[in-house]
Amino acid sequence: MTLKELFRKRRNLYYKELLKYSRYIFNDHFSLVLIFLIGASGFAYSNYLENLIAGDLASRVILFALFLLLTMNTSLTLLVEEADQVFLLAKEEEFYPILKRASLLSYLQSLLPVGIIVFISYPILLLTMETSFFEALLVFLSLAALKWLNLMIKLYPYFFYDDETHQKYLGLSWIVTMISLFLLLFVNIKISSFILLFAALFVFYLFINGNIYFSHRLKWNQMIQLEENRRNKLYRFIAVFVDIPQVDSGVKRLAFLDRLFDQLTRKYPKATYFYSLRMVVRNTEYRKLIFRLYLLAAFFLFISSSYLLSLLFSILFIYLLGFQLISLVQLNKKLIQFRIYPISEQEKMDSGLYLIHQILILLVIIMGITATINLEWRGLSFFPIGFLMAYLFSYYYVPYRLRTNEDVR
Amino acid sequence: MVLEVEGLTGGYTRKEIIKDISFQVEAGEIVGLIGLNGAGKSTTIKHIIGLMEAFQGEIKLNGMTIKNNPQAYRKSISFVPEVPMLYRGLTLKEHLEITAMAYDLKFETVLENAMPLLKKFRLDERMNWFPEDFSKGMKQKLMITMALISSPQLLLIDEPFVGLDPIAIMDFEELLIKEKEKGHSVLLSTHMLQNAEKICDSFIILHKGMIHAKGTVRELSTELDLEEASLEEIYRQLVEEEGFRNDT
Repeated sequence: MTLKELFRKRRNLYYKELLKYSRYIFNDHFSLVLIFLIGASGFAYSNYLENLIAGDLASRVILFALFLLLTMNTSLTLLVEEADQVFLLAKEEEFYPILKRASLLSYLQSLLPVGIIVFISYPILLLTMETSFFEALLVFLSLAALKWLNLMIKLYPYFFYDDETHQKYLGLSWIVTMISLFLLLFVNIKISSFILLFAALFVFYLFINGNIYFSHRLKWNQMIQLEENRRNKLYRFIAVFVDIPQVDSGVKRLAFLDRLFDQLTRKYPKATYFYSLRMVVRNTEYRKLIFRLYLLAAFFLFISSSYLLSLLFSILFIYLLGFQLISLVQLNKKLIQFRIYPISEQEKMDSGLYLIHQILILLVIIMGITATINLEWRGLSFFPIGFLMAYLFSYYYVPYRLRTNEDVR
Repeated sequence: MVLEVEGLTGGYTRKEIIKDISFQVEAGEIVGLIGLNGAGKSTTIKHIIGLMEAFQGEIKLNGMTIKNNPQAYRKSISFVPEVPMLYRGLTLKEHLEITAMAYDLKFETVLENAMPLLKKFRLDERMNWFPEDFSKGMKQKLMITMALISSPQLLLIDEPFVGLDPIAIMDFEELLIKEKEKGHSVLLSTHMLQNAEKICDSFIILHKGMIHAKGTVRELSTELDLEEASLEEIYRQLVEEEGFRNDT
């Protein structure tokens, strides 16, 4: 087997794995909710566009932030594995073309979301900047150029150990990207896009001919670590929908919450609840997930002027958050310590549902408060409706969902 | 009698790993489970804990089976695995708390039982640390502490000495003898024959999933026609003469 064949095989296996997990992500109910969310978002967006005026700056600021996030986030799928630093070192020279190919492939794949975002934001560009179709295309190409340039910065640690310099380059890329986007959205699309395209093409030429980086040796351990970080990020996202053994999340101590944990555990003194409560807060991924949804829900309800839409979204948020917490119950059931301890299956289930309910109640409270601030007395209705939804979701939908999954298995 | 294993056959899905295993562990007895890698020691222990379901046979603990009384059965057992199994995101103190909760014990009682052990293992200053960050030996010491604080009738240990420093090994041997004096039983699997011989009352020698021999060192010596042999000599005889080496 050649190195090329090895990495082709790895890529095929990787795509097969993604396909396998996508079945769990896009399951029946979640897909329905997603479609509904897209539809509702589309409706809200079209309402927003109707009120847009020519020369509006606020919308361009939003686009600026969106394009910035889009262009600064580029990941490289290399598919190197830990054992490669033992077995493939002798093949380093042969590996360079594979690295180039992987970079190009990752880059091309990353252009799809860019295209979608530019397509969706075209009405804003048209209404506020009177951009032609050609200029919108230039915007797309400019973002593509920025993405390419930022990808090149991402490759730095693959060849150099100097973290300080890497951070400097990263800082510089942020500044250059912000300046470029400012010029693009607020000064002149044509001039800024031509400059960006020229820069990107020049760097592309250097990269393909090996003039950037490839005169240096690869830093295998850093390369492998970055690939592992990328994979972990992906697996953590997938782990929200299905149990996968590859997930390895970090934990933070958060000692200042100990008293609160003790109080809550005193009210519900079960070993499984004791563990899951602390785990859900200390585990980085769960904590980020919950916090993000709390923030998103609060933000949306704060800005939405439509009562019905806000109510609908609040129910959706309850579903979205709750659905991603179902894995807590499964965790209780699967944890090997809980299979050895004298803990009944019923307790494992009940603790999980109790915790999910608590987290959803907090979400309802946050949503109720922000809805009341925004919609005044009508916002108060979010409380009883939200509490009811949280209860039904936790104690009826989750057990039903788990039963259905068991039957399918 | 505490533990009674009768005709145990089991393994993974359809593959038999252990076959027709029968033995007993009396109250106040320490029994060593000896065998080559892959002989079926860990599999036997996993069946006794209830992590695996037997294809055939029965396991009784004080007359109870895990099927007819799972809570009471599990409350009577503690397990120290070969690879420490700790909770991510829980401190050492919280590990004790959760053990207390799982076994329906008062935390104060558990802490009282645990502190002398934690002091002995030099872990008492690390109550608010995450054990995930401990060295392997420290993790193992914590696992031993957690296994003992519930005062189990039967202590199951898989390779207890691996990862322990010499002082910790001596301390651990003393602890096991104390458990025996309390009338508790211990079943431990190990490769460290010298350590096992010091503390075990009898041995079960597994080979290819079956019991090849069992008894005290004296009984095994007689069975193999060896005069006053040590456990290591007995085992060497099995490896060289009885064909264990050729069978691997």
